[in-house]
Amino acid sequence: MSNIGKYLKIARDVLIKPSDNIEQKIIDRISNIDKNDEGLLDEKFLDFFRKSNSRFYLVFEKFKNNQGFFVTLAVTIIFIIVIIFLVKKTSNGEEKGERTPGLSSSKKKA
Amino acid sequence: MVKVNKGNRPREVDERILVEKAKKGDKAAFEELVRQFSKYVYTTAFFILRDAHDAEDVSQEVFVKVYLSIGGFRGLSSFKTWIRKLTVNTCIDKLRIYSKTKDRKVSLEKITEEYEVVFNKFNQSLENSYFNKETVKDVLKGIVNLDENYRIPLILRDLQDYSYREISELTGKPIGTVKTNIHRARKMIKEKIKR
Repeated sequence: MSNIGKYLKIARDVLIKPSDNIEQKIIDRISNIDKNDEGLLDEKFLDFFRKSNSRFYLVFEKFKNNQGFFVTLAVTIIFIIVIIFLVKKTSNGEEKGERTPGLSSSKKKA
Repeated sequence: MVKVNKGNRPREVDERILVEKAKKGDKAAFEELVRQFSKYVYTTAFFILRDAHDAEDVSQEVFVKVYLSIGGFRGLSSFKTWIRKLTVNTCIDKLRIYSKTKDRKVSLEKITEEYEVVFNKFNQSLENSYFNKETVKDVLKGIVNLDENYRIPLILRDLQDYSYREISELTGKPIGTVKTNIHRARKMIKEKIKR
């Protein structure tokens, strides 16, 4: 059974249907919220809430979760920059090389 | 009993519109969010906690938290991602409390006998294959019956898309252990399906 990944992928979308009407229970619960329920918003929840509302945190998390991708991207960008730099340097050197013999011949004439 | 939904509900309202309305205090919009996501929250909680009662409690708790805080939700991630992480966090907290007292096991038959498994987005080509559906059900049974050390990392990784690092932080175990446990869990399920 090498296809376990395939079945796990399907299992992601599977839902367990509760025996009771959970939707109505939740709606009823929300209709009866009182002051005590605010205690559910404890320090842990507030920390989670702050983080989920922070763009910096979410980007940083994305980076931490995909370090391999970002490192590869950075290396590729640096490599491309180095290549461009080397190509420019080589072409500049060739241009200078072309100019130098011209200058020396004019000096001889003078 | 297996029920197959061929797609999303036709008149399912866009979650972003509902969230925006709910943020402004529209209770009907929030109730629609409950209708759209309650089974998802319940299923996530059920697989982690392995108890229908606890899964129901967590579902209610999660939606109360969402209701009380949705006004400040900036929507930097999707509502589904937000509620999924909140559900997982709430379940992990419950497990920490339970681990000191009990570890429940649900019998292999319980899922199919007492709970209706809904294949939400079942691929058309697989739809006619009884074998595939039964195998997925066996996989789910296998997951539910795994020991907590294997079950939680596997659920978070393969069903909830968490990274190894996130799982390591949530469970308080080194990344190496998490990876090993997930690998073993998959192997155990494979073995169970083979039988």
